[in-house]
Amino acid sequence: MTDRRPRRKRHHAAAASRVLVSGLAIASTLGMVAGIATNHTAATGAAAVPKAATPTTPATALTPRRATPVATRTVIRPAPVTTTKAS
Amino acid sequence: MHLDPKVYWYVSRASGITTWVLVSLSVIWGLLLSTRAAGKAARPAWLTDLHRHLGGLAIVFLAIHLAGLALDKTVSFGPSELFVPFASKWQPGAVAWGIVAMYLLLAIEITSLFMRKIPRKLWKAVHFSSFAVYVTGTIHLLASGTDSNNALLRDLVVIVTALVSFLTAVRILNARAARLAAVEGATDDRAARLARVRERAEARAS
Repeated sequence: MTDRRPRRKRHHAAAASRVLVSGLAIASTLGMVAGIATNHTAATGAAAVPKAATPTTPATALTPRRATPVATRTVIRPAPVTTTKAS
Repeated sequence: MHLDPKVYWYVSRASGITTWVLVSLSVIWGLLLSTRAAGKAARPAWLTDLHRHLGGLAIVFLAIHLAGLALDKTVSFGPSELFVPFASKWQPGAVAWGIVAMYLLLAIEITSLFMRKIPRKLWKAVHFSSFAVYVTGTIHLLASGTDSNNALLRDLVVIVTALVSFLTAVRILNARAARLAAVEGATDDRAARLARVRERAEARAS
């Protein structure tokens, strides 16, 4: 069957198909990248981020802060033990 | 702006799937062209134009697929892993299918670019390997793992494979019918020639 449309119109139809296919390919690739990234974040995010909002121990059970700072405390070390060999 | 460090891996996977879709569409368009299965709805010139464009676009997305793999740090791919079958430590078999598909696709594209400068038989023989590109590419898609469990992708593979198989069967049947018609035509010609020779011989004898 011969196409009776003028050559310019046929050329435009072919160019439009090419542009459409290229656009669809680019858009679908970008969509897939976004989809994969979203799925990956949803899958790994739950495991990676700890649940900080729900404490496991009640606030009253927490150990109180030290009254004296560590730097100012005096450390009493035991005297070194000297042993003498029995001759 | 924070960029996900795995973005190249995602780009590689997505562009790989797009490459497979474009190759499949190119094969389908080629079969529609050779079988005339689309009837009067599709002009041969339009089919040829889009068939070529789909092939070229597949090469572009293949390049993006390879670039994504080269830049990605999740699975380290160097030149040897990208271009030599079984050189990759990550799923060597599945990657090898992809490398074979890549070389065949490149051969088809190059011979098509120089179609008028090379013998028609050579072009046709190389062009027939597009079926092998489809098969090896599909195996690579399904065996390489990451997206093979996606139900949507599997359904797409089943539908496209069914369509390609159907059009290939139509193509084979058409070719056989054309061959038979040619043989019958040749037989008729020979019979007519023999009859004429016999008539002339009888005329001479009488």
